[in-house]
Amino acid sequence: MKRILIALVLAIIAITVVAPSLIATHDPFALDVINRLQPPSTEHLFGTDEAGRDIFSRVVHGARITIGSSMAIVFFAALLGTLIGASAGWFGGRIDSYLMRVVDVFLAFPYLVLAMALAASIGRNMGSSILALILVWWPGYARMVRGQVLSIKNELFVKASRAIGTGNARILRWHIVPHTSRAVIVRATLDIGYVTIALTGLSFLGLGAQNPSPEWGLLISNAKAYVLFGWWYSVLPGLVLVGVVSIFVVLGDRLSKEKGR
Amino acid sequence: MNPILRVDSLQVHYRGAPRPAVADISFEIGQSECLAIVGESGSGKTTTAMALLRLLGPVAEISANAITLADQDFLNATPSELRAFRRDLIGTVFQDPTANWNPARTIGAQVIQPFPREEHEERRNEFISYMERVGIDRANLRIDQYPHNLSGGMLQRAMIAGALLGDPRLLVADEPTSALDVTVQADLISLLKDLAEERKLSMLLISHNLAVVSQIASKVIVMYSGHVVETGTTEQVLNDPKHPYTINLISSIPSTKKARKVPLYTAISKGSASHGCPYANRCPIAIDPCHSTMPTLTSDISGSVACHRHEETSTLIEVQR
Amino acid sequence: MSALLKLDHINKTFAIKNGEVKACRDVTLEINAGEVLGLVGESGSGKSTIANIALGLESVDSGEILFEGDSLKKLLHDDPRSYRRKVQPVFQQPLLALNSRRTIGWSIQEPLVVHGIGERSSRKERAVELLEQVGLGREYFDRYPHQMSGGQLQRVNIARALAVNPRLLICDEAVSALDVSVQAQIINLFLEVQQRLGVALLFISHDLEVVRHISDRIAVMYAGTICEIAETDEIFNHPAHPYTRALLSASSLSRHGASLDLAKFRKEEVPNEGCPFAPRCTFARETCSTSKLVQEVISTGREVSCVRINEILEGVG
Repeated sequence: MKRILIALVLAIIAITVVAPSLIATHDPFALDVINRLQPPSTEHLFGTDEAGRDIFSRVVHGARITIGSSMAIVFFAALLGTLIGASAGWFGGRIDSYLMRVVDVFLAFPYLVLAMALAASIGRNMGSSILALILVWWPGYARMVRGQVLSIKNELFVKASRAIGTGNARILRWHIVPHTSRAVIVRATLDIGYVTIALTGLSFLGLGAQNPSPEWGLLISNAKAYVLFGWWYSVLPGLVLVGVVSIFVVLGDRLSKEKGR
Repeated sequence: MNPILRVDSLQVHYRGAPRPAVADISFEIGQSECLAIVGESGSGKTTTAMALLRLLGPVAEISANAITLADQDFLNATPSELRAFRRDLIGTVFQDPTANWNPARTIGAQVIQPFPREEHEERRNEFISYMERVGIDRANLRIDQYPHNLSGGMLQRAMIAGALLGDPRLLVADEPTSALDVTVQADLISLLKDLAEERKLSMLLISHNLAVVSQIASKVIVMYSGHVVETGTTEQVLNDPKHPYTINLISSIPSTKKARKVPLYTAISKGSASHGCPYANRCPIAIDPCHSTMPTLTSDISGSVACHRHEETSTLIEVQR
Repeated sequence: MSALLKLDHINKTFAIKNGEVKACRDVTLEINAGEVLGLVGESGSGKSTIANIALGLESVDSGEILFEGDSLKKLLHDDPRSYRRKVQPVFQQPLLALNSRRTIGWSIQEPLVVHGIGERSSRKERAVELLEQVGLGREYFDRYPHQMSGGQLQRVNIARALAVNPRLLICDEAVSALDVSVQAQIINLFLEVQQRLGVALLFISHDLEVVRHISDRIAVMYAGTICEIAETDEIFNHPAHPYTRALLSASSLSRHGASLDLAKFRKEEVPNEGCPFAPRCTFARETCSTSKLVQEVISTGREVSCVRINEILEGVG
């Protein structure tokens, strides 16, 4: 089961993020107003939107934006969070206190509210919502990695390495961080799913992607107005979104249940 | 007087394993008697005890001609009969003190819980007094503490105290003194000896510590790789061992009687396990029949030994003491 | 001859939940070059703290530590790496002492890398050489710890400890977690290594028989104090301190002191003043709880910390 999921994930990433044109049937931006709001057919797999654009192609191209951005957000949040958390855990004392207070401040806010506030204040575009989500997501990693470092720090092999004469940097690099990687990867996999929801949420609210971008949140937001006579416009992209997020979350859940170091 | 425990041809096989975990073991433990099963890890000694207590789970296939406890059929006991046996007749002490306590309940609660409600008050007082006997001070406070409040040595002693509740006939103890300091160990051994006499407590001791075995057990079974290789009284087995493995074991343990700073006797494996005697590839006097045919356990007055060359071993290998 | 490592009047107290623990009370110990000093004691005696102090992993509250005549504090301050190169550890749990994510070969080479010895190819050669010296074939170079047994892993730990040619090995219960038949092999390895390389050993254990087999001299510890130090044969044949006698009789090793009363095991009640063993000692008198305990030389090669030792030895009892 796990292999199927990984294969699916990799397929999604490879095709839609790297080369969407391979699957997309039409140009996602091509207007064809005469054929607006057509139901799904063999020509337009997901039907057309209010400007006659092929929804399927827009979904495929939007994947690159949505999922690509989610992955980037998670990557940078994890990187930043790991660096800060590992430093706090390893050095302890004042450094730990200061860093963790900063983390606490971030974690005190409901994440979506904070993301919205940050996105809105930085600017209403994709870039700002990406930045906002990185800022909202890194503290979770920091706290997790700090906890891990605190416990790994006391393991016998770390003590042995220190007794041998290994310096702090080497210990962090070879002994501490490698043992946190599993937890970080599991969390990151889950987070790609959750971040995708947050990101599409921000776009849905108008704070992220702007028209005519085929970003999924924006896409579904645009579909709002046509729910009654163009069900395919919101439902089909919605199902794709749910499906993709589920794959990441289920994979992450699977990984988290694996035992062993 | 009938033996308290009678085991006839017990075999344990893990599903999917090429060799049996316990090939065939038979023994009897009489009243007030202590039988020790000795061997290294992988010998099958712990498996034997766990199989007896039915604690191995479905992956282990257990078979025997008969197992009787206090003259009652133990082999075919139903789950509720087993529970009654475990509560009334058998006390158990496991090897790892920290892993065998539920961290979420007080030690008192855990130990007393299996007994009927109306006995709880009485059992509580009994537990406190046993805890004092095993050397846990302020037992009346300790009884309401959680496992994490006690050190490993204390948890081990508390487990022993708990096993003695309800006046069991048989104590099954797997390495009961391994986590304990030598001075505590000495005290505990004398307590167990006293109880054997006072309460007619019989004991099945699993251990690799020959010093403890020599102080407390009257009979010994030596196991290697799932097979019984030698049995006899403690004195016979430890002072006049007949099986090459037993000789190896005794020779490799440092003791005051041995010269210091001199390499200890070790038997290095010369290849993978053979089809015959499991010890053949480590045995210094192995000959061809040893590699092809499994030796049978030959018994006489002094005990039994499973070795093709058992009559010559004492002249061929010197026990290094 | 000046000692290789000397701990002089060391005191170390740890703060715990309801107070404090005096892990080391006025401990004085010496290890000479090339000798094996056994350190015996029960749990809570403070022997692991001594190991950590000797490894430079733990500070002391008072007292001096001298290595080859130089103050350890100064050495660790000026050039910590050079001290660590000369003093290496072997710990109790063979598997846990190794990084599970790295191969055996990597772990053995780590000290070489850390101390800047050799380069890639020569380090690898040295690691293989070490593997063979401890009785493991070169095929173990690329294995991971979880693929090997406890005995094999302890050989790896010893190989790693020897990589930089240390002068002193701190062995903290190095054979205690091993199966009985494997223990003998590792004890033999320690003997061989020690005799061949002339490295000194601080061999810490609770197992008297093992310590006896391997040590030249033995120090007996109880509740943070050194009760007695003497040559191995002397300790076993003529133990002086009451605790040493109790320990030996409990191990059924000797016929001395068999009548000592070991019934009271109130480990919590270790007094702060006077002799910590007093509450359990049959020879104890009031003066034992009130006098200051001093570790003194009572005859050639023998030191004892006991207020009444002279009376006890004279058989006053």
